[in-house]
Amino acid sequence: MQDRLTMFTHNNKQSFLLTANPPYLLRLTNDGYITYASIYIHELLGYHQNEVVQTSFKDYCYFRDYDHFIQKLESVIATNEDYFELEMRIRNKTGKFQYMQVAATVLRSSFHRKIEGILLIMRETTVQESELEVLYNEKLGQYEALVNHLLEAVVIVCGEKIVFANQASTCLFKANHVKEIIGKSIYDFLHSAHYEIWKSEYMKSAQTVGPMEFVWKTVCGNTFQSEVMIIPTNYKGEQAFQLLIRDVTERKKTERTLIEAEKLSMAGQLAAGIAHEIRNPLTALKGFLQLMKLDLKTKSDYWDIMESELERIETISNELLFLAKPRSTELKPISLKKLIQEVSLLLETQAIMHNIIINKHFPNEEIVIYGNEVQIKQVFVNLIKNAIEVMPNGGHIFINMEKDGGFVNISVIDQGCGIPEEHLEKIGQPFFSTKKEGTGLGLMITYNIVQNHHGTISVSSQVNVGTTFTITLPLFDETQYIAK
Amino acid sequence: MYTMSNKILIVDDQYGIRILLNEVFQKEGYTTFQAANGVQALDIVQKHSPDLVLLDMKIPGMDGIEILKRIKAINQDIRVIIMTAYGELDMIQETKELGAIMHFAKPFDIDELRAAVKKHLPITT
Repeated sequence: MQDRLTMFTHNNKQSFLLTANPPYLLRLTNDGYITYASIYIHELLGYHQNEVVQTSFKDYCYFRDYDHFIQKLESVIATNEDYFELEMRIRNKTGKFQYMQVAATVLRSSFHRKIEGILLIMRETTVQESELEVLYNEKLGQYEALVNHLLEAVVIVCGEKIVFANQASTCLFKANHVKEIIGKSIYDFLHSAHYEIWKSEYMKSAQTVGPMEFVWKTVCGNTFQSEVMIIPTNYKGEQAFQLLIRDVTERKKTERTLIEAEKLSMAGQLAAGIAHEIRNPLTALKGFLQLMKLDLKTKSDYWDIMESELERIETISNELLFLAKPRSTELKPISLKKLIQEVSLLLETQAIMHNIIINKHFPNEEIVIYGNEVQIKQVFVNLIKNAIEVMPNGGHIFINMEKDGGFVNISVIDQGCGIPEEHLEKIGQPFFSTKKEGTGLGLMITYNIVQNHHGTISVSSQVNVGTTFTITLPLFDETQYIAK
Repeated sequence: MYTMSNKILIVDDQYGIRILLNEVFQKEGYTTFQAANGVQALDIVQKHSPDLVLLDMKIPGMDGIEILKRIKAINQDIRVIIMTAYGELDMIQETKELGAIMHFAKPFDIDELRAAVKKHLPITT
């Protein structure tokens, strides 16, 4: 036997037999009866070596695997070869099937190569891994890599506990490590507005739901908007939910900006149209009035009243025209510090009358932007004037300017009555005003100008505390200017 | 002495403005014609050969630029003053290149317009 084995190992290049230690050997007759079993077979399958001798190998095999074994054996014999490997399920003493890697060698006589039996060398695939396991592990590896490198957050929730969170979820929830998320309750992150629906609907769902819009809280308590897919799954045998969370805050912001831009451009077109239509009849009215004044020579106050009313219409139509595309294309580098200084000087008398002090905090360095000076002035006149008007009882206005990368942020902060949240989003819309005398055009013009200068305006407000308008404008880039 | 060069054509789709300008310039002693659109305007240019045209830019149908081109094609010497509702800089520039002598933005001061017309077309009595 030992000789045969040596010979076998010499003849075969691919062989785990060398590593099969201890050797779990079976020798079969040509018709499948076991004539020899190594002593170690007990270790492997629980049978005593004598117990299996004289029994059929078939009795220990899962039937499909045995068929497979016979097929392979026949094909090997047919091609005059003598070795094959196969994975089989073999029944152990307890009756359970166990995956085995089986190497079969057809034993032939030296003369005529007559078949004298089959030698089987077995190896536990629990160590080696079965093909299925390999596949499984491969898939698992792929899954894990996928989930961990996914740009979307994936968390698994079991009960109310978060039992898994991928790398992306740390970014989303502003955590330093997944440990800050795993183990916590979903309610630590889910916005309270969704508690009810989460409990009553989604936690009971047997089907994938979504995408739905959810608001979440980060570790630091900030909120963000998201789209969520809820996928029922199992976690350690218990029902669980896999959540795919995508941050849509940026997208929402872009959508809003687009809508705003659209509104502004619509309003601009509308304004230009209206202004045009107003100006024509105005021309006629003004002209006739002028004529009549000359002709009738009546010294009447009425003419002056009519004229001043017409002036008013003209002013409004001028303001409306501001909304249309900038008429003047006179763009140039503007020293922002100087410009705001001039504007605040202009409005200082008005501020002093209302007992308001304008405080300016400018950086030491020069701040230069590129654009239309008149329009940029208009922006700050509007903002500072608004600030003065909301503080009839005096106070402070702060104008802060700071560089931020390629941009400059200018905040105009008042201590006025503030803007209630429901009004905040209407700020800058045409004809929206909280002031009695307001036309609802000033801020809209402001928004429009800033937009035309590739800038943005943001507003934050607290009722009875005050309002902050922050304008962000791109800094003047000399290199680009020359390129133009 | 009968004057040969005192004819003004007023082209505007707005009735009020036509009447106003008509009034103003008749009073000054000019002979005035009115047209509400391009077709009428060119017809009058052909028949009466005005010395000066007050031309609105925003006219339905044939627009001001087109009318200006055609007037100049008929008679290069006809002086044209254009009127716009607001300062469309590009358009104004284009009309200058096409030979318009000046432009007025509505609502204009009729005294100024009168003075400008007088300067470019002095009444010769």
